[in-house]
Amino acid sequence: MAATTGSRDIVRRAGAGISASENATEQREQWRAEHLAVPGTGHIHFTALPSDDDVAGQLARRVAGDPTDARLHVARVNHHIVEDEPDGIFAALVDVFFAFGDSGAGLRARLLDGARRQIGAQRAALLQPAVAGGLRPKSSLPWCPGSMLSKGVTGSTDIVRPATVGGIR
Amino acid sequence: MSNVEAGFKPAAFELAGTALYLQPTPAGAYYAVGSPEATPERRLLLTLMSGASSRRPSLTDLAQWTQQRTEQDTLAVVYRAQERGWLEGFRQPQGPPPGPLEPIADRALQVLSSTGHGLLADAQGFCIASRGFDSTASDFLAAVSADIASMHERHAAYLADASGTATGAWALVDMAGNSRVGFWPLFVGDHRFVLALGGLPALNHPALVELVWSLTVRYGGLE
Repeated sequence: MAATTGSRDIVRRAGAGISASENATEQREQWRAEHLAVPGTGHIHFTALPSDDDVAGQLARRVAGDPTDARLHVARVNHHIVEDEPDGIFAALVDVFFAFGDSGAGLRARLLDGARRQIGAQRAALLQPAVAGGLRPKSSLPWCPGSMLSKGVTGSTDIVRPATVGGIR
Repeated sequence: MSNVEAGFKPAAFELAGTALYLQPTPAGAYYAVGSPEATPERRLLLTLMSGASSRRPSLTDLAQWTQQRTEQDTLAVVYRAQERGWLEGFRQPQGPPPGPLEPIADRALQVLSSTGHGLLADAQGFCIASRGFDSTASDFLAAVSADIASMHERHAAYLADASGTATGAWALVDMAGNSRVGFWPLFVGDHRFVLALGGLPALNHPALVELVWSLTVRYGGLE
């Protein structure tokens, strides 16, 4: 059977078309998604699957399942930006910083800049030093509710170092 | 990516000399009890949770705990645990709150799930602590936890091959494959517990360290 895009517009009250208010709501949501998102990323969309989870929960699970999918990370950050949820934005950003290791500096910089106002200067300052190199599993951060990729390190991980030979490590 | 995962292997190691009180991170606590298989890293993490508070170990202590013969082998074990985000240190000793297990587990269960639904059961299916589930659901899930753990144990070798993962965790999933309730086995000494959580798990929460540490102190983490 060929797969096609179906429609849910099957039964409608006689004489009733799609109401103007429904249309307006849909258009407003689309405008918000494209214009409130981090500049240059509003075109990246996430299609939620039928699930008991809300969109934020689905995005979090998908990021945990496939941490290197940059589109998922962008969609997650933007979702929380549009919903104006600073804690969710920060958790999603933390996961972006954990996900890509040394690569992805451009993505980290763009997303952090786009979310800086909403997460606040203090939390932005925690991530700013890691824009270039990302966070590592041993990176220490204050406990970040909602992060899927953090190992929960809050203390120091400077316990054992590669030995220095003649001052060269 | 950590240095260890990236395949970076320094030729030699040295203690950083930071004289910290060491303890597992939440990920380290989970690794420590996530499997009964003894590894040097697991021995180290379990030993760190065998006392009432964290310790400031010497190199000799670390060698004994990890069962390594040389200083460099010992430091390599500690380095691997550190780079994987399993081990951390603090300036002050820390430990789980004293007192009975139930209130500690109760507090932990509340924060380890996004929906506040959690349960800790033993291998016989008795509910040790429950949060968010009503009493009928708690009894049912505790019994299911025991059955799942027992079934997993019987089929562990085949499941590891078939699924390509060594995890012992199970879940009830919705249509999209998202877990509604997850079951994580915790192997503590000769005892096996199951942690059941509704919603999104938050196993990187510091409360997991308190819970696992409390279990390890009471039930013994090492053979």
